[in-house]
Amino acid sequence: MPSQDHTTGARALAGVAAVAVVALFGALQQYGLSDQYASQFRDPFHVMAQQERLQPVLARIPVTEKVGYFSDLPAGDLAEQAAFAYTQYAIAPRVLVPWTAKVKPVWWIGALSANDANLAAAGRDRGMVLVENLGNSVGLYRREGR
Amino acid sequence: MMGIAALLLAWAIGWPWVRASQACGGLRPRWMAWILETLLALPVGLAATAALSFALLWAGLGAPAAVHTADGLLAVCGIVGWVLRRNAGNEPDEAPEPPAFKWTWLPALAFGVGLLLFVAAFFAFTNGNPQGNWDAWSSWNLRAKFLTDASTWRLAITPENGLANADAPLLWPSVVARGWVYGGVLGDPCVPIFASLLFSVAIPLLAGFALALLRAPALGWLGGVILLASTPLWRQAPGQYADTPVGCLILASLIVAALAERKNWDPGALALSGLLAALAASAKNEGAVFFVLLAGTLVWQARGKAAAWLGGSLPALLLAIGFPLFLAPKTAGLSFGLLADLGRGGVVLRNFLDSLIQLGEFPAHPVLLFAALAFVLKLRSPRGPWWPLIVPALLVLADLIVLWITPPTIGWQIDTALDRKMVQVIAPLLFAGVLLVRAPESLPEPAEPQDRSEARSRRRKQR
Repeated sequence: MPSQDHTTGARALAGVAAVAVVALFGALQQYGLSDQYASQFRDPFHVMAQQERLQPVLARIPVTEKVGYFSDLPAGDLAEQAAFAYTQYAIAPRVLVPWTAKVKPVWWIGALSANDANLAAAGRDRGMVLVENLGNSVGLYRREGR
Repeated sequence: MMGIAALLLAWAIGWPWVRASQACGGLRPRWMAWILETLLALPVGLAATAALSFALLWAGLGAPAAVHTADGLLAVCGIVGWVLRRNAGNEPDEAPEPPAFKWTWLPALAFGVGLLLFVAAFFAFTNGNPQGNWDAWSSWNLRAKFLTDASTWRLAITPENGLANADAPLLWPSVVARGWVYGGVLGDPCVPIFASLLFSVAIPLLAGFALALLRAPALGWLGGVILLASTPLWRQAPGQYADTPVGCLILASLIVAALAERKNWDPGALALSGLLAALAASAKNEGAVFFVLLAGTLVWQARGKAAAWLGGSLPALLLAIGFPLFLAPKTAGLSFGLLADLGRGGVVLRNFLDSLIQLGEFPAHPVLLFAALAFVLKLRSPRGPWWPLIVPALLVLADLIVLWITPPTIGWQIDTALDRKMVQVIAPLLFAGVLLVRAPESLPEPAEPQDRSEARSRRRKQR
C-alpha cells in the first residue's frame, strides 16, 4: 500500500483555510466572552483591598502568632465565609482563628457590616481594645488582660 | 519585578536540561526546533526548581536557603549534563523536510492573532481580578504564603485551620512561593499572574511548534488555533489554579515522549519525558494518574527502553510518592462501592457530555474543528502513532471514574471539576489527534524551461 502522508490541491487548501478562519472566529468569540466576564466581575470579594488594608499593621504581629477574627455577619453565610477566607489570605502566613475557637489570641481583626459601625464598642463588648481603625469598618484589636 | 525575574531565572535553569536531553535534536527547521526547546524549558525549569526547593524546605532548610540551593543545584547539574552530552546531538540530520504548502501563512496568521487575543483577554481578567478565582486565594496562593517561611510551611498541609485541599500536592504553591521569596513582597499578585500566564501561553505554543516539527507547520498552527477556540483554556488560565501548570506538564511530557519515539526511543528524550511526568504527578493527583498511564503505554511501546523514562522520572517521583505517604493529611479515600450506584455514574456522564458541549462556541467548537480537519485532510495511511492519543483518552476515563467513586460528602466536585479537568486533557488530546492527520501539501509547480531557445527546440522536437 503506498504511503499516504499528505493531502494536496484544492482539498488541502479548502480544509486549511476553512478550519483556520472558523477557529480564529472561535478565538474571537472566546475573547468577547472573556472580556465581558472581566468587565462584569472585578474582585467581587475585595480580596486585594483587604490585603492592602491589613498590610501596614501586619509587621506588628509575628508570623507564627495566631490572629483572632470576629464579624457581625450571620454564621454560615457565603459573605461571612468569604470574609473569613480573604482575611486569612491577607494575614497569611499567620493563622486566622474564628471567634468560636477555643484558642483566644492576643491580636484580633474585627470586620463589621455597617458603614458607620462603632468599632471601639464592638471590641469592648468582646473584651478587646481597638488598636487601629483600618477603614471600611475593619479594626485591629488587642485582647485585654495579658 | 524580582518575583517575575525569579520565574524567568527558573525558565533559564530548565534550558540546559532540555538541551542535554537532545529531545529536539535532528528536527528541522532548526530555528523552530530551538523555539520548541526553549518552550520545553519552561515547564521543566519552573516545576523542577519549585519541586526541589519544597523538598529542601521539608528537609529543614530555611525558605530562602531552600530556594537558592535548589536553583544552584539544578543550574549546575543542567549545565554539566549539557556539556557532557553536547556532542551527542551531532548525529546526521535525518528529519525529512517539512512538506511545502504555500498557504501555511493563513493558519500561522490565525494562530498568531488568536494568541494575541488570548494574552489580551488574560490581562483584561487579571486587571480586575489580580487575586485570581476563589480557590486561588482561599487555597493555592494561601498555601504558597505558608511556604515562604520555614516556621509556617507545615500550615500548608494542616486542615485543622479550615484550609481547603490541604492534601493536594504543593508544586504549584511552591512555584508561587519561590517567586515571593525572591521578590521579598509576600502576596505580590504579579508572581502568580505571571506564572499562570507563562504556563497557559506555553500550552498552545508547545502544541503548535511540536506539531509543526513532527508533522508540518500548517498542521501545527492549525492545531494551535483550534486549541485557542476551546473555552476551558480561556476560563481557567487567569484563575491561578494548579490545573493549567499540570496541563502544561502533561502536554510537555507527551510531546517529549513522541519526540523520543521519532529517534527510536532515544534515552535522553525519554528521561526528560519521565521527569516532566513525575513533576506533573507532584503537582496534582490527575498528574499521578497520567504518570501511571504514560508509564504503562511506554512499556508497551518501547519495551526495555522505557527504563530510561523511569530513570528520568525517579528524582521527582520520590517527591510525588513521599508527599502523600509521609506529609499530606489523610482524607476520605475513594469509595469503590459507589460503582454500583449507576445513577451517580449517569450524573457523571451527563456532566461530562455537558462539559464536552461547552468546550467551545458553535460553530468554532474544537471537536467540530478537529473532525472537519480530519475529514478534509484525511487520516494518514499507514496509520500514524495511536499511543499518544490513548494516554489522554484514558486520563479522561480515569477522571470520570474518580468522580464516580468520590465520596458523596464532596459530591459537588462532579459539578465543578470537569471544566478544570478539561484544561488538563484538551491540549494532549488535540496534539495526539492532529499527529494522525495528513499534512497539506502544494502540488509541485511545472518546471519552467530554462530559456526560450530551449523551449523552441523542445516544440520543434515535439512536432
